[in-house]
Amino acid sequence: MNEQDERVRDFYENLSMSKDRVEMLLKVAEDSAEAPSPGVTAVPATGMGWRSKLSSMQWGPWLQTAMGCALILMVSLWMHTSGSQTELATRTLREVAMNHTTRLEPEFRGSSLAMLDNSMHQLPFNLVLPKAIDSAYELIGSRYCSLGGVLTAHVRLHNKKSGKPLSLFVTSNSAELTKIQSQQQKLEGVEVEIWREGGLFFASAQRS
Amino acid sequence: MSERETSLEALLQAAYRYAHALCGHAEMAEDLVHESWLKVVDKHGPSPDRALLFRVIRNLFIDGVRHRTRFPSDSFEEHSITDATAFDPSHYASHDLVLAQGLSELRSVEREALFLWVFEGHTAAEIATLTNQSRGTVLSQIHRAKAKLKKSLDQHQEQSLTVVKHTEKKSS
Repeated sequence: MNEQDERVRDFYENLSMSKDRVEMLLKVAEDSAEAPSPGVTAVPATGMGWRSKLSSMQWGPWLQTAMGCALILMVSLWMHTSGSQTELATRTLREVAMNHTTRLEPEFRGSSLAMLDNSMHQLPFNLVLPKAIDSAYELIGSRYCSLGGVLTAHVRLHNKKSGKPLSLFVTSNSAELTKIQSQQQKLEGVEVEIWREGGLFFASAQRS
Repeated sequence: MSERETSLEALLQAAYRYAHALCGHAEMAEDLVHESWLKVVDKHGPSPDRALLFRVIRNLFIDGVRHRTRFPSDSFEEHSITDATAFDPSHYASHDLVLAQGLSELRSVEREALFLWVFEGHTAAEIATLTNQSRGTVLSQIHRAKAKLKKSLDQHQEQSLTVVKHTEKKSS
């Protein structure tokens, strides 16, 4: 080694990092030793299998992403379901209003409910009147129709005082119809109401 | 200071010398070691391996150089600052300032090769492996570094002699 090399050696020998910086970096190492991150010292450097690798991974960000995706999925599903429910309700309300306005002749005539019930053999339930239909109404007759693809009894009544006709639709609670919430709407001058009572699905329609 | 702390400090000082050999600038070398240390400790635990730390320092330095080359707009300012302070005598208060000046004028690859050869005592083949170059390239880098340094030191000596002669003339 010549004189110049010796000078280079001495130069680098005498170089040193500032004390503050050294202390700072030593503290970093010390802190790391005291509180090891799960990805560092919890797993030994050798013999690390995929299981331990997986368990040592930081799942926080993944979990957040998964939860976000699940939330988006749930919201879109809810929007889709509520959208289809609204569509179904509107369709049923229209069907009720249309059945009322077409004024088709009743297939079975009679002033007693028992008579009409006996006549309508195909109904999978016993025909009953809801609480809202009191003695102010008189039965005219009934016919088969369908609501939401379900066999329904269309009972025609009229108000004894005013003579105003009223259509009552009675059907069983099918899977489709149970999705429709009880509601009241006015469609093309017809007041339509939908509700459930005694395990049956009811709808009424009359001109306002 | 515990034995562990002493060995870590020695490692930090060694890393600093290597970083200095790469960038030729005291503050930049500290920053380079700082960044590398955080990376290595975070990934590999509180007792970093010397070879690994040196490799990270080298890679970060190369990344920095590449970044400055790729984005000259932001490197312009940085480069001029670096140039202006590349040799700041205040950083080498108790050092061989003439040599520090000479070293700062070398290319980083030459300075690195010279450091690894003279200070770390590596062979040309070892340096070639470490720096991913051929042995011949390393040897020529060392040779060039030594020649440049000699020239710089000789020039300085000549200037000093001229100044001394001039002063002697004036005084006589």
